Amino acid sequence: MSQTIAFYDRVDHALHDSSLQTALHRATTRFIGNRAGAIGALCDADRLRDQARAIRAYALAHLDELLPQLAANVEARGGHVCWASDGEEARRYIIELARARGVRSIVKSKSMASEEIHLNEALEHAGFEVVETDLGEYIIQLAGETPSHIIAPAIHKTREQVSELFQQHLGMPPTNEVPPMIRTARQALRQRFLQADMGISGVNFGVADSGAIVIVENEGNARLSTTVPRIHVAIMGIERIVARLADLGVMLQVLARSATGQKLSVYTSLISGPARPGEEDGPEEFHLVLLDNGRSRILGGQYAESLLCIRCGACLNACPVYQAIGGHAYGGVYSGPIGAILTPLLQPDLPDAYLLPQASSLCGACQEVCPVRIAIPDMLLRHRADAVKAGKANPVEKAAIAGYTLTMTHPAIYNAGGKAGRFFSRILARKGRFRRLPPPLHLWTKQRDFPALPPKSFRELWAERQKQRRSSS
Amino acid sequence: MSRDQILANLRTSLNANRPWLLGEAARMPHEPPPFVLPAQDDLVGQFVAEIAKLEGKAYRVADAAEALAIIDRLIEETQATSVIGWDLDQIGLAGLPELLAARGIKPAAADVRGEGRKARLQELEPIPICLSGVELAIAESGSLLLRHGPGKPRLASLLAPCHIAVVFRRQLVRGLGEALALLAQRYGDEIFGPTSNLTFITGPSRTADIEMTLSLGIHGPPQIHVIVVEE
Amino acid sequence: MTTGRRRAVLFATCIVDQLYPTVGLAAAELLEQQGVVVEVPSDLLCCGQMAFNAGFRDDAYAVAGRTLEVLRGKGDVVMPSGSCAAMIRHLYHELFAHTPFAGMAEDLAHRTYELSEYVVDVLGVTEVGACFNGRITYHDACHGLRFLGLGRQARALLGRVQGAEVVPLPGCDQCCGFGGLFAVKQHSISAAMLDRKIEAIESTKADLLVTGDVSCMTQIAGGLSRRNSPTRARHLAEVLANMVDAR
Repeated sequence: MSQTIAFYDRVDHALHDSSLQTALHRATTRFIGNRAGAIGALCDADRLRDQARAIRAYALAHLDELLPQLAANVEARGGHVCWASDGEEARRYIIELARARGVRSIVKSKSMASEEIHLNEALEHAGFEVVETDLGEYIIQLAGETPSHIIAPAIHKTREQVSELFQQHLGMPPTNEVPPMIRTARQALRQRFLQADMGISGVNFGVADSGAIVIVENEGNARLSTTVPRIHVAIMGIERIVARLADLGVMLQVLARSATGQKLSVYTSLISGPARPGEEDGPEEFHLVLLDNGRSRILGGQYAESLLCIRCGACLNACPVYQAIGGHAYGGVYSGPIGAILTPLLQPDLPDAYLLPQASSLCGACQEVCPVRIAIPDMLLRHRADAVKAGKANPVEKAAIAGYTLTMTHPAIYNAGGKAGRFFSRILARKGRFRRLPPPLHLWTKQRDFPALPPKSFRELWAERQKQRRSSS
Repeated sequence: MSRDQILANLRTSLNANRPWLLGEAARMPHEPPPFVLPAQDDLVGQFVAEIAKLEGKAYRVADAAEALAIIDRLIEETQATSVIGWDLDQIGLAGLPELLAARGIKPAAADVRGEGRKARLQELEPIPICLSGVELAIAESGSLLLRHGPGKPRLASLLAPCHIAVVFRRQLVRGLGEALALLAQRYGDEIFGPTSNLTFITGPSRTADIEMTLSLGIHGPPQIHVIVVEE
Repeated sequence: MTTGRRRAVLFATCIVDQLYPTVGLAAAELLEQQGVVVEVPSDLLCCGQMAFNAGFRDDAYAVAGRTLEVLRGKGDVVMPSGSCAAMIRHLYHELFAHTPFAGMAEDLAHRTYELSEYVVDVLGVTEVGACFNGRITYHDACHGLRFLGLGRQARALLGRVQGAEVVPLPGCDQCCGFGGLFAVKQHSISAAMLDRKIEAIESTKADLLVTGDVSCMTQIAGGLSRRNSPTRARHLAEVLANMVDAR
């Protein structure tokens, strides 16, 4: 979806897309139930989540030591490390590598970091053939779209839409059954794997003490992407690190359960460098791209806590706003509550990124399910404060708040305002309610009534009551 | 250049936020629990039940002979004339080499490295069975841990539509924390010495990317047969 | 404090003061019935949440700073709103960090309570002599639920209401879509969330939808009223103080 469409238009579009609404309801309900079951079965879920938070906080606190340690260990195993300050550096490294090795065809497994730096477009522009191999990513690549969910990128697509895409691009006979679609995708993608020269993957965790990266998946496409082609390139946000291999004993448990409700994902691969001498398969070359892209700066500010995120997607599913509008409406690579925090930080050039933190009722459901207990609502509030400081507040709202502040700091004005309100309410309200209010409050009465104001305020009634009591005693 | 810049930025940032992060890090010990679910008496039973929940097939057998019978039946069913497998010695199932020889099956080496990589991959592609052992298995999640390396190729649990894994009772642990601790105990700093890859496998390949409908075998094996030898 | 009687400030909140005076009176009744001496400072207006949530921290600082002054040295503060209590308990810390008010904010946070929490956890009371003949369902207001850990207290109190049948509300912990200015600024999303809440309420066929926050109550009541639903939305205090008229 084009990013030139304003945020509110995307929201309205999403709210009126009935197939999207059905898909969102189905997916988020399932994810919420699965997660609740898996977390509820644990002996001590609270402790495990506290441990996960502590492990991630430790890693961030020592990022300046752990990253060099990870890089040194990868290099000691024969791997190469690229330190990329931004997307441009990461893209250039990968494109130059692919050119130098005579690469023609590239298979990719799911990587939010690669979405963040728009790697596919850059690779295609440079003349390489790039195929997304996660089924959901593959579907949206065929459709020319972007992911709408961290875990399930194509949840907005119906089976009919997928069938049409496969008929059009893969020559599948018409069907609305899922199994033949799965078979068609398996066959088509299998040949892509076998012919690929380079595999590109994301990274769920870098393990500093082992020089390993961890990739978590259910389909097996990441295993194929990192095993079959001659060259494996892994892209990792610099914050996605843990200090010790043992830390995975906590992190993998909370990740799988929070993301999909599984005890462990189907395939969890730990990869340390290229294939060793004597190994029959595996890549000849391993390259780890460490992507900063603003993260080292975020670490020093009031959003540092957002770097604890392990990209499980639980906050998306739990969020009533995400449930209502889905991922595309957010406009950035990351959606949902965590996306509303990350997008203004990582993609500050998006014109309406500052509006995303407004799209929250601050209900706190996100924080409640977060496996590392990120205080998401607090950070949404900081973003709102930053937007006001940057002069991005809507003028009507600004005036309303100025009036509010004046009123709430001056009891005389407050009392007079209350009296005036009650006067107008007596004239204008019907049957104890307002069906319509003047702008800007007409936005309230569009879909709901507003109560008529009572004849007297609580404080007036209280004062009368106390006076009566005094005189009667 | 970028390395120095990134590290310099990190140090500046940590000057501001390191105390807070260290405070958060110190709230809880980091040592993972050996297991995370309520303990059950019958470890093998738990393991087998978990695999069944994942729509994998698990078999409890008393000895090697029973295990061989299952493998024999699967070869029969798939009409396999070849398998992509580990070195049979590394699987360690007595009688397996003889069984395959009797069936006329010579395990295909997954030797794809060097010249002719893509051609060799195309030759391996039609083979219907993967055959492997495991390093460890985890009861509470129904997971296999494969430590790949010489004689233990990754493709031997990945390429074919049917993966047969042989697990011995002594390889079974209760939880993930226990498995990681055991690895560290066995190999110390050399967990990744002779190998570039460790993989936990928990059930058959699956996806729910089309309308949240669970489907098996989108990329990896749709069938997984885990034979637990209790001898 | 002249006698051994417990004293508390009732911070009714600006919305209760202007829109729902009966909620304030009900809360006062409830506390007095339990022997608490209730004080309502005449110049106590608003916690500042509206400005804070909209990102106007200087404005919030002015409003909340004044509130800190009014409540200085006043002992326990009881609020018939989980959201406003959460503002003081959870967010004043950030609002007043590195300011001369930090200590006062900390002090106020420690003596501020939401009404049901005060009655059940501090006073130790669940039986307050309330009656209501009809079916009641309860909506957990988000801030009380997630930032103050409320819910069990209101259910304990409602469980003792004579004649009332308390039925569970499906998705009782799902946001109603109010969210302060969110309800106006993101009115279409807010309305979609409200629709789901109303559907859930209607499925219970309850006579009363009870909640502990007048802000959620305004949103939900507005939706029920627009649909001419027979279900009425009422604040917990009104039920407990027998101030819900029979119909």
